Amino acid sequence: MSVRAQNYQISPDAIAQQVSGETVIMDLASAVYFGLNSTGSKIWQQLESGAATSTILAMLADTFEAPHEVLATDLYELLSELENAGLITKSTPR
Amino acid sequence: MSYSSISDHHAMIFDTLRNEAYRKAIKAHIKPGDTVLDLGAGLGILGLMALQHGAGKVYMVDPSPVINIAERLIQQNKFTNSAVILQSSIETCHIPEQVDCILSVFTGNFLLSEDLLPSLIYARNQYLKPAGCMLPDKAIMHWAPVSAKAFYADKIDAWQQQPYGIDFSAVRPFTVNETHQVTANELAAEYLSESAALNEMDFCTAETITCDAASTFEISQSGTCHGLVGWFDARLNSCWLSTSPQQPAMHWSQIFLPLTTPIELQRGDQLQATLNRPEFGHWTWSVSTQNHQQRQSSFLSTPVNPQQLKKMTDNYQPRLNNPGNLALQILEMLNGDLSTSEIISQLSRSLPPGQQNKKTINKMVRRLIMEYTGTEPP
Repeated sequence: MSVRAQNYQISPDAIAQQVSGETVIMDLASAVYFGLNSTGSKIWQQLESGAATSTILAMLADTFEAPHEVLATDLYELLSELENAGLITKSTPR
Repeated sequence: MSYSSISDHHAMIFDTLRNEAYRKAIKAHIKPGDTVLDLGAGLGILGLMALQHGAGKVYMVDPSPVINIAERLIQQNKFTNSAVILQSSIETCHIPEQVDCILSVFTGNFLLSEDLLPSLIYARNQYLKPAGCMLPDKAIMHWAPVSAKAFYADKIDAWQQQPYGIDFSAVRPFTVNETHQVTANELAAEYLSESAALNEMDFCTAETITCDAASTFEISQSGTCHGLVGWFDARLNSCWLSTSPQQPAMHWSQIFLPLTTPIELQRGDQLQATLNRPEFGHWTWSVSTQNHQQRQSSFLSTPVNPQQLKKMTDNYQPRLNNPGNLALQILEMLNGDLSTSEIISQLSRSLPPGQQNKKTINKMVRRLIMEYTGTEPP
């Protein structure tokens, strides 16, 4: 399985609040806060609805006029950051 | 709670149930000549009791100016040579010796409110002799699911009404995630099951003050569950002091943790509940039944400003704003050579037009002087 086919789910320890189109996430375990801008917030909403990474990438491609590779790199960077912060975890492959 | 006005202390000083329990424990555990730390002393009642029962020396520590009234009480009660007053937090003061006993009332509502207990742990690690005692030395948190129809209608669902023709319903999601400080009479709750103990804390050994616990409630009375009510019991070595809503009231309140959607429970049902609270963090509670699950968090009761949020994150690169630059300039002038009026006057002259608001300068200079100057050598 390629890394880019990896799907993610929101950690049970993450609680999110929407503020003026942006998202504030708190990690229950560490009480650390994490902020997402409006694009990050859209990605978070997709994760909340259980969307696959490929679906999130397709949503970004519909929204932004940027090369697919650039969007994919940005998405995986954010997902890695969220994973390192303990806010999302890799989904078990079905 | 603020502890800087006398009216704040009235409820504590005249809480005879609490104070008699402390007095009994002090009498049993303070030995003649003992050195005692009265942590968060306020008006010094516990320290004065310790002196009454033979303590040789009491250090009374409290950051609030109210501690200066304790000094008068010490003189009035003729304990002048046995008490040391330190207006400071325990983390910033220096006590020159180890103590035999630490007295404190650092147990907030539902134990963890106010986040005073981390200071008790600090005091224990810094100043308690190895065989020293702590009063209280242990506490247990308890909670129970309740039906509280009138309270819920008044504090939560009232936001769904439209007073003055204005739709306030956007407020409800905030208040339903709040922890509500209540008395037993205000909540007028019906208990749907036996209470459960969820977090036992030994102050003699604890290093962190957190709660991450789960309970299963066997529902013994059918009804609508509007939330959970929480309280704590504290042990004063040989006796327990309970802040339970079913015990005689003391100055503590209980905490009501509402549910976003009240749930109907039948006798024989099981209700699973979890509670999480890191040190200085938010309360998060969840309930689940066989076919229902919901989670609330005081994090969701706090309106957050995105700009403030950015400042809270670790990768924020802070840069001084205009008031920050002014504060820096003022701090550099607090070198012992200039009077307050000279500092204000020099600043007013030196600042460019538009930044010469004398009232602002005056206020900031005085605040920084109060906070960052002292008589001790650097």
